[in-house]
Amino acid sequence: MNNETDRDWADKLAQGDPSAWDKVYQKVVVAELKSPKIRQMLLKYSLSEHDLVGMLFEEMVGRQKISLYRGEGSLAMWLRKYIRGFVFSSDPRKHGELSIEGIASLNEDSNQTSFDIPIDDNRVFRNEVWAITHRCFRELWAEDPERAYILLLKTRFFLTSEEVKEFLDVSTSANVDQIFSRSVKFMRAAWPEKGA
Amino acid sequence: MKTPADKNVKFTFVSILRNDSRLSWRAVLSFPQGATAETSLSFDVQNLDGNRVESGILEIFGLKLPVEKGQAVLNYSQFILGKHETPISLIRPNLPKVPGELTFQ
Repeated sequence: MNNETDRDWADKLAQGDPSAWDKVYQKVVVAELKSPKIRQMLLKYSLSEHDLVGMLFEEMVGRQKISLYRGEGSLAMWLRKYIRGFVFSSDPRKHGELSIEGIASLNEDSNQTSFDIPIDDNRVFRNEVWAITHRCFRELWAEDPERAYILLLKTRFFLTSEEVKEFLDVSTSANVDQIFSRSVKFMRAAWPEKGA
Repeated sequence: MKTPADKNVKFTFVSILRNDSRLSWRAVLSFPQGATAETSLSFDVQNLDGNRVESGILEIFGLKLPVEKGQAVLNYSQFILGKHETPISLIRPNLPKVPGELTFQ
């Protein structure tokens, strides 16, 4: 991997190679999260680093944007611009980006049949986000439970694609990435509808 | 099929919102670390008040699992076989059958 050129890396990303995507996590997402402003916005918009990897996967593999990389400048810096774009346009009330991992921990001690009465604007917003997320997740579950399990395993329990493949007996880790990407896309699409 | 050797995973299923809180339930499916096909998995089944469900039938993954003293058991391979099944419900004595769903808690 040390002698790998950016072109090699881009080709592997296009093929959904798990090790190439692990490298994205380390060299692109983790690197970008060193910015306090980015971290603050992630928290504000209830996004996780795993959401960002899923969004990047959808953009690069799902929409084949990786083919636009021409080798001008480093691939890591090129991908970081996408990450910044995702974060800056992630207001959940407008665009539907969300993290079930970030939201669920706020409600660990309750369940969805009863809410504490919110006492400040932040909690009102958080509870609203949680309720909307629950409705979106319910639809994902009804569509295909396996997708919902994969979303949970990756965003809530931080399993790698290889671990999810073993856990759910999916044929390949590339399939896991594709299903995960579709799940994130589904949740994003459902969000504005449920939040309206 | 195998669960990670160093991560704990739990899936939480809850009753679909009902006006009558007596009907609410939650069932937490725990996966032991390093579980394989024949490993037994257990559901921890509770009423809304947090007390265990003493007896009943948990219908899930296409199976009818007896609930005894708050526990229902199945094999990991049975979970995998039923991973595409959505119908879930809990039947308790003297109460109607109450459907549920997976949640992200």
